[in-house]
Amino acid sequence: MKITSARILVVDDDAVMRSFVVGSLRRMGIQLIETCADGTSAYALVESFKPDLVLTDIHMDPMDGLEFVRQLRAHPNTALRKTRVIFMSSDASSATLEEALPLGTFGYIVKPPRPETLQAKLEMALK
Amino acid sequence: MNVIRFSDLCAKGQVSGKRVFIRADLNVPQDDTGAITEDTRIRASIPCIQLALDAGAAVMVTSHLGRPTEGEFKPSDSLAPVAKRLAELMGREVPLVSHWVDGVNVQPGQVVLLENCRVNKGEKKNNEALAQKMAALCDIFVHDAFGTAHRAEASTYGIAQFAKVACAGPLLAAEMDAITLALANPKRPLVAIVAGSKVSTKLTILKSLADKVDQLIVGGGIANTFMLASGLKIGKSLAEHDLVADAKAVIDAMQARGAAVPIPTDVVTAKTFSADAVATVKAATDVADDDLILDIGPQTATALAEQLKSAGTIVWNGPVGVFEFAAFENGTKTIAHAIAESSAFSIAGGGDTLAAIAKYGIEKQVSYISTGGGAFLEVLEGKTLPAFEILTRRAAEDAAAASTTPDQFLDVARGLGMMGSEDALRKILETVDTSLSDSLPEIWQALEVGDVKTANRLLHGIKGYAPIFCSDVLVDQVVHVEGLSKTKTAAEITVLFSELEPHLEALLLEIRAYIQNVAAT
Repeated sequence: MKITSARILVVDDDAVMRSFVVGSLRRMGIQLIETCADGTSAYALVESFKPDLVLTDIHMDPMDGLEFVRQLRAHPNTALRKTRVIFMSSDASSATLEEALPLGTFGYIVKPPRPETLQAKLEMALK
Repeated sequence: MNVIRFSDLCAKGQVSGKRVFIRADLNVPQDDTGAITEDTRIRASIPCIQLALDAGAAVMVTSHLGRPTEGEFKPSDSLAPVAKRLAELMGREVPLVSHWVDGVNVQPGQVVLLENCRVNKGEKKNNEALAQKMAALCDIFVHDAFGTAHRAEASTYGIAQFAKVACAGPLLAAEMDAITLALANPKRPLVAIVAGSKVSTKLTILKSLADKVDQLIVGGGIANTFMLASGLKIGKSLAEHDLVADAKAVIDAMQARGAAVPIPTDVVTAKTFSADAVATVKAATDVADDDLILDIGPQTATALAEQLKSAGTIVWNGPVGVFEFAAFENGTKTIAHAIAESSAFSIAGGGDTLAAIAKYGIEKQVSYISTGGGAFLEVLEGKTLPAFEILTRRAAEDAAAASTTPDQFLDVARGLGMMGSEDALRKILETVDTSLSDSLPEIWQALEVGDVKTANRLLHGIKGYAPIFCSDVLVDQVVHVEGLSKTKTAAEITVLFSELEPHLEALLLEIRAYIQNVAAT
């Protein structure tokens, strides 16, 4: 899949980070982008938006990124369970990584990602 | 004293990958074969070197050794024995580098010893060209040689003028702290003991201390001159008759301030100056014409000891009697034990004083033992040491430069690199303006009610985006405070955030100025 035709959901509780990631995605030519500020609203949105890839933060309230992806993996709509996920966090501790990686993700990005790093990760995930 | 401390730079992670030049005092005594007979100074210099290595620096260390002739290196001037001993003590290689002024090859995680700095031409006269070359070798200059703090030489002063950063190493900082405690902000009563053979060598110290101390205890030959000034006879004791008027002036100055110079009421005398001379205790008024006063008497010693025990601060320079002779050591011994037993902050220095401290085994009870003989005496004389002066000036200049440098927190070049265009950077900065303006008061509110978790969440958000457009300095600060907010209390984070918050406010101002500029163009 070409990244320019991908549907991408950006989940982050920080408005600046959402703006940064969306700006980076637009410069790559990606148009179909939705944003959410936490796991609960993201989970509510996946059914209608049907993202090809989710870029999600980890530390969020009320539902954090890890819990959101756990619920996504058990979604009643089985097609959505396989949605590609990349975690983003400025907290690159090994404990967080250990929790995130078994959730079937396509990687882990330390925030804020350099634009070329983000593009490389997206291309790999959407290949 | 407001100086930049090397330990602070290390703690802030500002030393990693940097070239660090440490001026240490490794001037150790050697025997005729060049073997080191006493290595205290090498051991004392290791903490600073280790600190630099642990912080990830490329470390250069130098020192003087002996009194070489500049430009004429002799094998006996070499720091080779010091390099060997340092390597043994640190358990690692310490290569010795000669002819180092024009360049030194050293990598982060390595330490090299630069050959005797006093062999370099221009060192003692603080030659500017030499100092600039030395400064160019490093990113950070660390002065850790208090013994040389009273000298303005190229490797102690000039380099500090020109290095990008000039700071105090742990040894120098400890001396500064002790001196500040004892003399700048002393707990009173402040009692000074100034003793030794001659008034002439310590007249400046006596005059300087007469303005500061509550009691000035004089001993040795100095006390004899003060006894003369008080109208007492001293027989054929050592004294300087031409300085009696100066001694009288010191007594008068002290009395005018309501302070005192306690004059001995009894003394220990002998007919000859020798270890086996017969010691006689007598009243200070009974000294015979053929007597030599070699110690203070027991009554005087007891009275002084009482005063020392109730002192708030004690400065000790010089033994009060001929303590090398058993019959005349009682005064010095009593004083030493009184200092040891006193709850006062005590600082001691000077060669004979250190010998007395060692003889009576009170090293651990003296609050601070100064290692720099000449430097310590100059501090007592009221002089500002060149090392303190330049490091204080550099810290003040750096602080002033930091507060007036525009765009110090917003790194536009980095922002453009991350965002790809001016327009994209402007857009995200507009979001930051709104978001950060909300976050700052929310963090304060959270901390006020002890909700450190919320403060951490908000700081975490700032930490996430700061590397997009903030300067390294600000990113480091945010990372530091955010990291600690995971484990520390709200009170502790309030203190840290009160330092960080003005910088984030300044960032907001820089962001608004940038947005306006972009809009205008």
